[in-house]
Amino acid sequence: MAAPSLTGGGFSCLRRFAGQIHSRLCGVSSPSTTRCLIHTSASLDRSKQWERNNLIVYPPQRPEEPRRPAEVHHSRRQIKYSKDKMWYIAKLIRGMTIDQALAQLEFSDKKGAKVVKEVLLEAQEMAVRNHNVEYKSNLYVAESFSAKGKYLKRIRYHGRGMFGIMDKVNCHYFVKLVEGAPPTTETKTGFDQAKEYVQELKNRTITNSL
Amino acid sequence: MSFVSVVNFLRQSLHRAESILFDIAGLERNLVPALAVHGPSVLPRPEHDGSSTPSFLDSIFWMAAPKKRRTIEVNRTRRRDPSKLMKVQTNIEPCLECGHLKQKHTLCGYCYAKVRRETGEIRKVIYAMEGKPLNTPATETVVLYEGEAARDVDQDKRIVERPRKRPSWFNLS
Repeated sequence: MAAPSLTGGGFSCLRRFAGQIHSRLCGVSSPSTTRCLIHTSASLDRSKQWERNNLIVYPPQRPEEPRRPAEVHHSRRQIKYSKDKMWYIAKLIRGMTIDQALAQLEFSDKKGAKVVKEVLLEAQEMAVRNHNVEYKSNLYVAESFSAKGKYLKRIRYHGRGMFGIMDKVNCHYFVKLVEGAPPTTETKTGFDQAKEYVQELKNRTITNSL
Repeated sequence: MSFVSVVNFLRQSLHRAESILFDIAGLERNLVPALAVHGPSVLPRPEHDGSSTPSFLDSIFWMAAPKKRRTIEVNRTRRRDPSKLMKVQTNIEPCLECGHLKQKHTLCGYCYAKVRRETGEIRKVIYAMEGKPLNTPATETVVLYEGEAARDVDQDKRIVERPRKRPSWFNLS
Protein backbone atom coordinates (compact mmCIF):
# COMPACT_ATOMS: atom_id res chain seq x y z
CA MET A 1 0.00 0.00 0.00
CA ALA A 2 1.11 3.54 -0.72
CA ALA A 3 0.14 5.08 2.62
CA PRO A 4 -0.53 2.39 5.19
CA SER A 5 -2.71 3.58 8.08
CA LEU A 6 -1.70 2.64 11.58
CA THR A 7 -4.39 0.02 12.09
CA GLY A 8 -3.72 -3.58 13.03
CA GLY A 9 -3.58 -4.58 9.37
CA GLY A 10 -1.41 -1.58 8.52
CA PHE A 11 1.14 -2.55 11.16
CA SER A 12 1.69 -6.04 9.73
CA CYS A 13 2.12 -4.42 6.27
CA LEU A 14 4.77 -2.13 7.72
CA ARG A 15 6.54 -5.10 9.26
CA ARG A 16 6.51 -7.00 5.93
CA PHE A 17 7.73 -3.83 4.18
CA ALA A 18 10.57 -3.50 6.70
CA GLY A 19 11.42 -7.17 6.19
CA GLN A 20 11.63 -6.70 2.40
CA ILE A 21 13.94 -3.70 2.85
CA HIS A 22 16.02 -5.74 5.31
CA SER A 23 16.41 -8.70 2.93
CA ARG A 24 17.24 -6.40 0.03
CA LEU A 25 19.90 -4.53 2.01
CA CYS A 26 21.41 -7.73 3.42
CA GLY A 27 21.18 -9.70 0.14
CA VAL A 28 23.06 -7.08 -1.94
CA SER A 29 26.35 -7.52 -0.04
CA SER A 30 28.89 -10.15 -1.21
CA PRO A 31 29.09 -13.54 0.55
CA SER A 32 32.40 -12.68 2.21
CA THR A 33 31.16 -9.49 3.90
CA THR A 34 27.61 -10.37 5.03
CA ARG A 35 26.81 -7.41 7.24
CA CYS A 36 23.33 -6.30 8.10
CA LEU A 37 22.83 -2.63 7.36
CA ILE A 38 19.68 -2.35 9.42
CA HIS A 39 19.23 -2.40 13.17
CA THR A 40 17.00 -5.38 13.94
CA SER A 41 17.43 -6.02 17.68
CA ALA A 42 14.58 -5.72 20.16
CA SER A 43 16.08 -2.65 21.83
CA LEU A 44 13.50 -0.31 20.29
CA ASP A 45 10.62 -2.17 21.97
CA ARG A 46 10.45 -0.94 25.57
CA SER A 47 7.41 -2.97 26.53
CA LYS A 48 9.39 -5.94 27.95
CA GLN A 49 12.34 -3.90 29.28
CA TRP A 50 11.87 -4.93 32.93
CA GLU A 51 12.61 -8.59 32.26
CA ARG A 52 15.61 -7.67 30.09
CA ASN A 53 17.14 -5.80 33.06
CA ASN A 54 18.09 -9.22 34.45
CA LEU A 55 20.29 -9.94 31.43
CA ILE A 56 22.75 -7.08 31.90
CA VAL A 57 26.19 -8.30 33.02
CA TYR A 58 28.52 -5.82 34.68
CA PRO A 59 32.30 -6.04 34.18
CA PRO A 60 34.21 -7.40 37.19
CA GLN A 61 34.64 -4.82 39.94
CA ARG A 62 38.01 -3.53 41.03
CA PRO A 63 38.99 -4.29 44.65
CA GLU A 64 38.70 -0.66 45.77
CA GLU A 65 35.14 -0.21 44.46
CA PRO A 66 32.26 -0.61 46.89
CA ARG A 67 30.47 -3.93 46.52
CA ARG A 68 27.58 -3.76 44.05
CA PRO A 69 24.59 -5.56 45.63
CA ALA A 70 22.84 -8.25 43.61
CA GLU A 71 19.55 -7.21 42.00
CA VAL A 72 16.75 -9.22 40.48
CA HIS A 73 13.87 -7.79 38.44
CA HIS A 74 10.67 -9.76 38.16
CA SER A 75 7.20 -9.05 36.87
CA ARG A 76 3.89 -10.64 36.04
CA ARG A 77 1.80 -9.44 33.11
CA GLN A 78 -1.93 -9.29 32.48
CA ILE A 79 -3.10 -9.96 36.04
CA LYS A 80 -6.93 -9.86 36.24
CA TYR A 81 -7.01 -6.98 38.76
CA SER A 82 -7.22 -3.20 38.73
CA LYS A 83 -3.98 -1.21 38.54
CA ASP A 84 -5.25 1.28 41.12
CA LYS A 85 -6.09 -1.47 43.62
CA MET A 86 -2.77 -3.19 42.91
CA TRP A 87 -0.96 0.08 43.62
CA TYR A 88 -2.02 -0.05 47.28
CA ILE A 89 -0.48 -3.50 47.67
CA ALA A 90 2.69 -2.39 45.87
CA LYS A 91 2.92 0.70 48.10
CA LEU A 92 2.53 -1.44 51.23
CA ILE A 93 5.59 -3.59 50.59
CA ARG A 94 7.87 -0.88 49.21
CA GLY A 95 11.08 -0.83 51.26
CA MET A 96 10.31 -3.89 53.38
CA THR A 97 12.50 -6.93 53.80
CA ILE A 98 11.24 -9.86 51.77
CA ASP A 99 10.19 -11.86 54.86
CA GLN A 100 8.19 -8.95 56.24
CA ALA A 101 6.59 -8.37 52.84
CA LEU A 102 5.60 -12.03 52.50
CA ALA A 103 4.11 -11.99 56.02
CA GLN A 104 2.02 -8.90 55.28
CA LEU A 105 0.80 -10.29 51.97
CA GLU A 106 -0.13 -13.65 53.46
CA PHE A 107 -2.60 -12.08 55.86
CA SER A 108 -3.96 -9.40 53.53
CA ASP A 109 -7.50 -9.90 52.30
CA LYS A 110 -6.90 -8.43 48.84
CA LYS A 111 -7.06 -10.55 45.70
CA GLY A 112 -3.86 -8.99 44.37
CA ALA A 113 -1.95 -9.89 47.54
CA LYS A 114 -1.96 -13.57 46.58
CA VAL A 115 -0.54 -12.77 43.12
CA VAL A 116 2.11 -10.43 44.53
CA LYS A 117 3.16 -13.07 47.05
CA GLU A 118 3.66 -15.60 44.22
CA VAL A 119 5.70 -13.05 42.26
CA LEU A 120 7.90 -12.34 45.30
CA LEU A 121 8.52 -16.04 45.94
CA GLU A 122 9.42 -16.60 42.27
CA ALA A 123 11.78 -13.61 42.38
CA GLN A 124 13.41 -14.92 45.56
CA GLU A 125 13.93 -18.31 43.92
CA MET A 126 15.41 -16.65 40.81
CA ALA A 127 17.73 -14.54 42.96
CA VAL A 128 19.15 -17.55 44.77
CA ARG A 129 19.43 -19.73 41.69
CA ASN A 130 20.61 -17.33 38.96
CA HIS A 131 21.75 -14.08 40.53
CA ASN A 132 24.31 -15.23 43.07
CA VAL A 133 22.38 -14.28 46.19
CA GLU A 134 23.71 -16.17 49.17
CA TYR A 135 20.88 -15.96 51.71
CA LYS A 136 17.31 -15.86 50.51
CA SER A 137 16.26 -13.72 53.49
CA ASN A 138 18.90 -11.09 52.80
CA LEU A 139 16.75 -9.36 50.19
CA TYR A 140 14.59 -6.27 50.34
CA VAL A 141 11.99 -4.77 48.01
CA ALA A 142 13.72 -1.84 46.34
CA GLU A 143 11.04 -1.07 43.74
CA SER A 144 7.47 -2.25 43.51
CA PHE A 145 4.77 -0.80 41.30
CA SER A 146 1.81 -1.65 39.11
CA ALA A 147 0.91 -0.63 35.58
CA LYS A 148 -2.08 -0.84 33.25
CA GLY A 149 -2.33 -4.00 31.15
CA LYS A 150 -4.34 -4.51 27.96
CA TYR A 151 -8.06 -3.98 28.59
CA LEU A 152 -10.94 -5.85 26.95
CA LYS A 153 -13.97 -3.77 26.04
CA ARG A 154 -17.49 -5.00 26.70
CA ILE A 155 -20.96 -3.44 26.51
CA ARG A 156 -22.84 -2.59 29.70
CA TYR A 157 -26.55 -2.27 29.02
CA HIS A 158 -28.44 0.65 30.61
CA GLY A 159 -32.14 1.51 30.47
CA ARG A 160 -33.90 3.17 27.55
CA GLY A 161 -31.57 1.69 24.96
CA MET A 162 -28.50 3.43 26.36
CA PHE A 163 -25.26 1.55 26.72
CA GLY A 164 -21.87 2.11 28.24
CA ILE A 165 -18.53 0.59 27.33
CA MET A 166 -17.24 -1.54 30.19
CA ASP A 167 -13.50 -2.14 30.52
CA LYS A 168 -12.34 -5.57 31.69
CA VAL A 169 -9.21 -4.40 33.47
CA ASN A 170 -5.85 -6.12 33.65
CA CYS A 171 -2.65 -4.93 35.28
CA HIS A 172 1.05 -5.70 35.35
CA TYR A 173 3.07 -5.93 38.56
CA PHE A 174 6.82 -5.20 38.72
CA VAL A 175 9.21 -5.81 41.60
CA LYS A 176 12.95 -5.35 42.08
CA LEU A 177 14.68 -7.19 44.91
CA VAL A 178 18.13 -6.08 46.04
CA GLU A 179 20.47 -8.00 48.30
CA GLY A 180 21.28 -6.56 51.69
CA ALA A 181 19.46 -4.70 54.43
CA PRO A 182 16.87 -2.12 53.40
CA PRO A 183 18.13 1.48 53.53
CA THR A 184 16.92 3.32 56.63
CA THR A 185 15.53 6.81 56.09
CA GLU A 186 16.37 9.04 59.01
CA THR A 187 13.11 10.28 60.51
CA LYS A 188 13.56 13.74 61.94
CA THR A 189 11.28 14.47 64.88
CA GLY A 190 9.60 17.81 65.43
CA PHE A 191 11.85 18.44 68.42
CA ASP A 192 14.96 18.00 66.27
CA GLN A 193 13.63 20.37 63.65
CA ALA A 194 12.82 22.95 66.30
CA LYS A 195 16.31 22.59 67.79
CA GLU A 196 17.89 23.12 64.36
CA TYR A 197 15.77 26.21 63.80
CA VAL A 198 16.77 27.73 67.12
CA GLN A 199 20.43 26.97 66.34
CA GLU A 200 20.13 28.73 62.98
CA LEU A 201 18.69 31.78 64.72
CA LYS A 202 21.57 31.77 67.21
CA ASN A 203 24.15 31.54 64.39
CA ARG A 204 23.03 34.83 62.87
CA THR A 205 25.70 37.51 63.07
CA ILE A 206 26.60 40.81 61.48
CA THR A 207 29.33 40.36 58.85
CA ASN A 208 32.55 42.32 59.10
CA SER A 209 31.70 43.49 62.62
CA LEU A 210 33.87 43.41 65.71
CA MET B 1 -30.91 8.00 17.70
CA SER B 2 -31.30 8.46 21.47
CA PHE B 3 -29.07 11.58 21.31
CA VAL B 4 -31.63 13.30 19.06
CA SER B 5 -34.47 12.47 21.47
CA VAL B 6 -32.41 13.84 24.39
CA VAL B 7 -31.79 17.09 22.48
CA ASN B 8 -35.52 17.37 21.68
CA PHE B 9 -36.42 16.77 25.30
CA LEU B 10 -33.95 19.46 26.41
CA ARG B 11 -35.40 21.93 23.94
CA GLN B 12 -38.97 21.24 25.10
CA SER B 13 -38.08 21.52 28.79
CA LEU B 14 -36.28 24.83 28.07
CA HIS B 15 -39.44 26.11 26.38
CA ARG B 16 -41.50 25.00 29.36
CA ALA B 17 -39.13 26.64 31.85
CA GLU B 18 -39.14 29.85 29.82
CA SER B 19 -42.94 29.98 29.67
CA ILE B 20 -43.20 29.35 33.43
CA LEU B 21 -40.74 32.19 34.07
CA PHE B 22 -42.73 34.44 31.74
CA ASP B 23 -45.88 33.74 33.73
CA ILE B 24 -44.15 34.51 37.00
CA ALA B 25 -42.75 37.76 35.63
CA GLY B 26 -46.27 38.78 34.67
CA LEU B 27 -45.47 39.20 31.00
CA GLU B 28 -47.79 37.76 28.45
CA ARG B 29 -46.86 35.59 25.55
CA ASN B 30 -48.65 37.72 23.05
CA LEU B 31 -48.07 41.37 23.94
CA VAL B 32 -51.67 42.39 23.43
CA PRO B 33 -53.19 45.35 25.37
CA ALA B 34 -55.22 43.78 28.19
CA LEU B 35 -57.25 44.89 31.15
CA ALA B 36 -55.35 45.63 34.35
CA VAL B 37 -56.64 42.56 36.05
CA HIS B 38 -55.00 41.47 39.22
CA GLY B 39 -54.83 37.72 38.80
CA PRO B 40 -52.68 34.86 39.94
CA SER B 41 -49.03 35.35 39.06
CA VAL B 42 -48.72 31.80 37.79
CA LEU B 43 -51.46 30.91 35.33
CA PRO B 44 -52.66 27.32 35.34
CA ARG B 45 -50.68 25.54 32.64
CA PRO B 46 -52.13 22.74 30.51
CA GLU B 47 -50.85 19.39 31.67
CA HIS B 48 -49.02 18.13 28.54
CA ASP B 49 -48.04 20.34 25.63
CA GLY B 50 -48.69 17.51 23.22
CA SER B 51 -45.19 16.08 23.72
CA SER B 52 -44.76 12.41 24.35
CA THR B 53 -41.91 12.62 26.88
CA PRO B 54 -43.14 11.56 30.34
CA SER B 55 -42.61 13.84 33.31
CA PHE B 56 -40.32 11.59 35.31
CA LEU B 57 -37.42 12.74 33.13
CA ASP B 58 -37.86 16.30 34.49
CA SER B 59 -36.21 15.31 37.74
CA ILE B 60 -32.98 14.44 35.86
CA PHE B 61 -32.72 17.99 34.60
CA TRP B 62 -32.27 19.37 38.18
CA MET B 63 -29.86 16.74 39.59
CA ALA B 64 -26.43 17.46 41.06
CA ALA B 65 -23.59 17.38 38.57
CA PRO B 66 -19.87 18.15 38.89
CA LYS B 67 -19.03 21.70 37.95
CA LYS B 68 -15.38 21.19 37.09
CA ARG B 69 -13.13 18.27 36.25
CA ARG B 70 -11.22 16.98 39.26
CA THR B 71 -7.53 17.43 38.50
CA ILE B 72 -5.13 14.52 38.80
CA GLU B 73 -3.42 16.26 41.74
CA VAL B 74 -6.71 16.44 43.66
CA ASN B 75 -7.48 12.84 42.75
CA ARG B 76 -4.04 11.66 43.84
CA THR B 77 -4.23 13.39 47.23
CA ARG B 78 -7.60 11.72 47.84
CA ARG B 79 -6.48 8.27 46.71
CA ARG B 80 -3.11 8.36 48.52
CA ASP B 81 -4.39 9.81 51.76
CA PRO B 82 -2.93 7.75 54.69
CA SER B 83 -6.38 6.63 55.82
CA LYS B 84 -6.88 4.91 52.43
CA LEU B 85 -3.48 3.19 52.32
CA MET B 86 -3.17 -0.40 53.50
CA LYS B 87 -2.03 -0.59 57.12
CA VAL B 88 0.93 -2.70 58.19
CA GLN B 89 -0.38 -5.50 60.39
CA THR B 90 1.40 -6.01 63.69
CA ASN B 91 -0.47 -9.14 64.81
CA ILE B 92 1.53 -11.69 62.81
CA GLU B 93 3.73 -14.15 64.69
CA PRO B 94 5.25 -17.59 63.98
CA CYS B 95 3.38 -20.67 65.16
CA LEU B 96 5.26 -22.48 67.93
CA GLU B 97 4.29 -25.93 66.64
CA CYS B 98 5.15 -25.76 62.95
CA GLY B 99 6.95 -22.43 62.41
CA HIS B 100 4.55 -21.09 59.79
CA LEU B 101 3.12 -17.63 60.29
CA LYS B 102 -0.19 -17.12 62.05
CA GLN B 103 -2.28 -14.25 63.36
CA LYS B 104 -2.32 -13.83 67.12
CA HIS B 105 -6.07 -14.33 67.59
CA THR B 106 -6.37 -17.21 65.07
CA LEU B 107 -5.33 -20.85 64.80
CA CYS B 108 -2.31 -21.62 62.65
CA GLY B 109 -3.50 -22.41 59.12
CA TYR B 110 -0.97 -25.18 58.53
CA CYS B 111 -1.72 -26.97 61.79
CA TYR B 112 -5.46 -26.63 61.18
CA ALA B 113 -5.07 -28.07 57.68
CA LYS B 114 -3.11 -31.09 58.92
CA VAL B 115 -5.66 -31.82 61.67
CA ARG B 116 -8.45 -31.41 59.11
CA ARG B 117 -6.80 -33.90 56.75
CA GLU B 118 -6.48 -36.55 59.48
CA THR B 119 -10.06 -35.92 60.62
CA GLY B 120 -11.21 -36.51 57.05
CA GLU B 121 -9.46 -39.87 56.98
CA ILE B 122 -11.04 -40.86 60.31
CA ARG B 123 -14.45 -39.81 58.98
CA LYS B 124 -13.97 -42.01 55.89
CA VAL B 125 -13.35 -45.03 58.14
CA ILE B 126 -16.43 -44.18 60.23
CA TYR B 127 -18.54 -43.81 57.07
CA ALA B 128 -17.39 -47.25 55.92
CA MET B 129 -18.19 -48.73 59.34
CA GLU B 130 -21.67 -47.21 59.51
CA GLY B 131 -22.68 -48.20 56.00
CA LYS B 132 -25.77 -46.02 55.63
CA PRO B 133 -26.54 -42.47 56.81
CA LEU B 134 -27.96 -41.77 60.30
CA ASN B 135 -26.54 -45.06 61.57
CA THR B 136 -24.39 -43.67 64.40
CA PRO B 137 -24.37 -45.94 67.47
CA ALA B 138 -25.23 -44.38 70.84
CA THR B 139 -21.73 -44.94 72.23
CA GLU B 140 -18.49 -42.99 72.34
CA THR B 141 -15.87 -43.43 69.64
CA VAL B 142 -12.15 -43.93 70.21
CA VAL B 143 -9.50 -43.79 67.48
CA LEU B 144 -6.67 -46.33 67.77
CA TYR B 145 -3.56 -46.28 65.63
CA GLU B 146 -1.00 -48.95 64.74
CA GLY B 147 0.28 -51.00 67.62
CA GLU B 148 -2.37 -49.86 70.09
CA ALA B 149 -4.84 -52.11 71.84
CA ALA B 150 -8.17 -51.25 73.39
CA ARG B 151 -7.83 -50.43 77.08
CA ASP B 152 -10.33 -51.24 79.88
CA VAL B 153 -11.85 -47.78 79.57
CA ASP B 154 -12.53 -48.36 75.86
CA GLN B 155 -14.61 -51.55 76.31
CA ASP B 156 -18.07 -50.05 75.56
CA LYS B 157 -16.83 -47.61 72.97
CA ARG B 158 -16.84 -47.88 69.19
CA ILE B 159 -13.26 -48.40 68.03
CA VAL B 160 -12.01 -46.75 64.81
CA GLU B 161 -8.78 -48.20 63.45
CA ARG B 162 -6.33 -46.08 61.48
CA PRO B 163 -3.43 -47.96 59.86
CA ARG B 164 -0.71 -45.43 60.59
CA LYS B 165 1.49 -44.17 63.40
CA ARG B 166 -0.25 -42.00 66.00
CA PRO B 167 0.28 -38.28 65.19
CA SER B 168 2.20 -36.38 67.85
CA TRP B 169 -0.59 -33.91 68.34
CA PHE B 170 -3.34 -36.54 68.89
CA ASN B 171 -3.04 -37.84 72.41
CA LEU B 172 -5.06 -40.77 73.73
CA SER B 173 -7.38 -39.85 76.63
